[in-house]
Amino acid sequence: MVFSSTVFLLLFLPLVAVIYYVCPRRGRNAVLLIASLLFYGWGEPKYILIMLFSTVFDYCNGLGIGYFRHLGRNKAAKAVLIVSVVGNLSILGFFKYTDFAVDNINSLLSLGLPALGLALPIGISFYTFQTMSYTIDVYRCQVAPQRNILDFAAYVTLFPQLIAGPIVQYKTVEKDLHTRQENWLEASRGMQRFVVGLGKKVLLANQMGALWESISAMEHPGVLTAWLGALAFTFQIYFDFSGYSDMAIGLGHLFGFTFLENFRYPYESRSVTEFWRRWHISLGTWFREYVYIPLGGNRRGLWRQMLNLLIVWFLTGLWHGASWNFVLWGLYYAALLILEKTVLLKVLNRLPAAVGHLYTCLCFVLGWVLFAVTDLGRLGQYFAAMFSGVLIDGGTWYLLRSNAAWLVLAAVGCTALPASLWKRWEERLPNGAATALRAVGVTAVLLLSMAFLVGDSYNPFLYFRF
Amino acid sequence: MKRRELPPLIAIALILLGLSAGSLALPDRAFSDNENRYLQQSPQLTADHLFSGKFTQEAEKYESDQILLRDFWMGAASTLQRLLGKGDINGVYLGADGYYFARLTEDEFDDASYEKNLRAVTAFFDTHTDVSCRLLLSPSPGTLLWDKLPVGAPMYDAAPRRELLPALVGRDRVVDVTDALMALDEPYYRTDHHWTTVGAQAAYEVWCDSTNRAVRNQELTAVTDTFRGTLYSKVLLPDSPQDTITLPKGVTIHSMDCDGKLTDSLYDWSRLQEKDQYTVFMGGNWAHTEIDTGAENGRRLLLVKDSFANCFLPFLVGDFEHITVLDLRYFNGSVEELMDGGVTDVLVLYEMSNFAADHNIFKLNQG
Repeated sequence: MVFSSTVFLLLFLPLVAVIYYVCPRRGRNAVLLIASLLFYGWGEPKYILIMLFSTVFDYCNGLGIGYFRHLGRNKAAKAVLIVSVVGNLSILGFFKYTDFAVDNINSLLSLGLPALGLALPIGISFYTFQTMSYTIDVYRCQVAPQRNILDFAAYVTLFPQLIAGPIVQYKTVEKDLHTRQENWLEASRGMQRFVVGLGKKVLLANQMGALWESISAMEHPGVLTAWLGALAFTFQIYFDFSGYSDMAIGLGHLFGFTFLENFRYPYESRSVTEFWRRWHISLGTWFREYVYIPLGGNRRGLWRQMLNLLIVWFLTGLWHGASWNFVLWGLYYAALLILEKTVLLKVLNRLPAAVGHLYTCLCFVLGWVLFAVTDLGRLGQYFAAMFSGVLIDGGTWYLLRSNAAWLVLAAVGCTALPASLWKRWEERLPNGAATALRAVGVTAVLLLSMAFLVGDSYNPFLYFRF
Repeated sequence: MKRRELPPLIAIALILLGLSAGSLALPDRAFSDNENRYLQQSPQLTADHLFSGKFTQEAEKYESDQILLRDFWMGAASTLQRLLGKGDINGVYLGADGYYFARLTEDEFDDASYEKNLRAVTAFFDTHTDVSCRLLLSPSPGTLLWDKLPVGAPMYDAAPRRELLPALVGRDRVVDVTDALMALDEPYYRTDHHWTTVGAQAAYEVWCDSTNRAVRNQELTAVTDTFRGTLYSKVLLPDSPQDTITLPKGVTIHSMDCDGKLTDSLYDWSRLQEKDQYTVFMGGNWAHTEIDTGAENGRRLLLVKDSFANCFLPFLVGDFEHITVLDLRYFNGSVEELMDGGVTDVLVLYEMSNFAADHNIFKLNQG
């Protein structure tokens, strides 16, 4: 099930919210667990078993690691951790990367190995990373092993962040799992956040997505059209992904959980380094804590740091999908980050801010093209269209004019401007008026989102490769 | 502090719970007149459907199709799109003077399939040189009324495809109606993808010319002025214009057999009470129709067509004793057998983009 569907908004969410709040506190994790299994099983009835296996597997591993740590048998604890990590990565590897590997082996050695043709279990990359964060943190003695399997399962399957993140580390919600205090203030803020996220997805991301899809399907777009398409995807991926995160964080609040922020207006960044501190923060944090720093981070000299960056970004790219373009995308960022760490940041700091903004925009727009076009042949064609050939084609002006208002809305919407303006107005208004205005605002966004959900058939789910 | 935060939550809860309860309480609709399609009915929960994913798919469609105020939501979305300056909605251009046009870009026009179909028609014509054969492709509305398209809106170029016709099919066997339609005020409906009866009549006259027939003048009478067609069903703007349907009322036939359903009129008047009033012509599309016109002139026509021919047909009645109408999308019998019944004339009539996209034309040459 996805958030941006009438089934979720009109059946699942109202039902779960009512049952959740009617249920006494003791039973609420169980309510969440059952709701989450339904939510996941809705689209993936068979793959629910993999998620449950993953849950039980790491529940046991967590207990085992804790037990051996308690006894001081660190080697045994480490062995269990290795079992956990290998197990998780094997599941992920089997479902996500087998066909990719088979494909590459076939073309390398001219073999005809059959592909498995498995559908990727949705959200598998998110929940395997979450359970790994748990066992690793138990090993590091940062969290105590969870003894209640119900609570642990509620964490792994928690539907608000299950299929499109953020990647919630166990240690950040450990307290919430046991002692959270739901209250109306948080619930209200959470639902407002949810509606804003829904609006970002349904109103902005889908419009931009439709524009990108029409341009990427063109055989010979002009230079300007190709750039327009790249820009459209840039907006689509931001509003889609950050919209999903807003909805997840908002729903978390509704049920008393506090998830960490996942996006902080990344398109305002003045360098690629800054961009990655503000984009999909939970993934960056995960790779830093569990890969980059264990590899030595920046403490073992420049060469080793560069190698570490390369490894981390190769993996980050691959995490986004089993296809070479994602690897290229990761390595592209590794190159940019290394360049910035060695020379470019020093230069950028001396230049006017606008230069940094412009350079960063250019970097991520080109990056998104790498990300969006999975077929390498098509990718080459698209880059060629962006940098050569006719400047404008027959449809350029029409596409620009027809989408101008949406593009302006998107450009303004991806900055902090609307939020800061709102804050300034709210402070000036009398209390009652500010709340009333808030109510009117969320009503408008929710009604418009409903209209576009029903009226506009274009509503893709972008994370089926993750 | 706490109480002040509540109104937004209450507003959201009221909307979601209200819509949810309202949609559940509302009796299900079977058909959407506005969208001209069947709506999803309550899904069946069986183990089979559940594990194949059919149940959840249908449930999602059901929830969206049977939502309270569905038509209102769709109209609202379109209205906002237009307000924000979008030139097209759901693949339909919002043109000048209330005209809607199906969007079909240069890339989307399937030239390979177009040429393949032309060759199939030519092959069919070539095996029946003793019969008078004609191909008539009506221009796509957006290519003829291009000056009414939003400025710069991408539309395929009909000219090179038109120029291909005489070369591939033969100059004498092609009926080019472009100029005749261009001369008219309203060759196409505003809200529907078909040509008007006036347009069809002008095309008929060109066909008469091409087959050396004298044009018989038919008077057209308006039968409805509240027609909103297929393009409206995609756009769903509440203030869409309404079209007038005219037809030659005086045309009578002896009998018509539409896939076994017998009638004695080319018009199904009951359809004027329905949303898609264009189906007044022949009552819609049939795989195989046999018409006895009652005229006794020994001429028999085979008409292979899409729905553009439905309002063209009345003009032909006086010219033939018998007319066989085939819609190859649904017809799977032998065309050759039908040809053996003494056919004297063949007319293949399609709208150009329909013809290019159709994957059934090959059936012409199947036994």
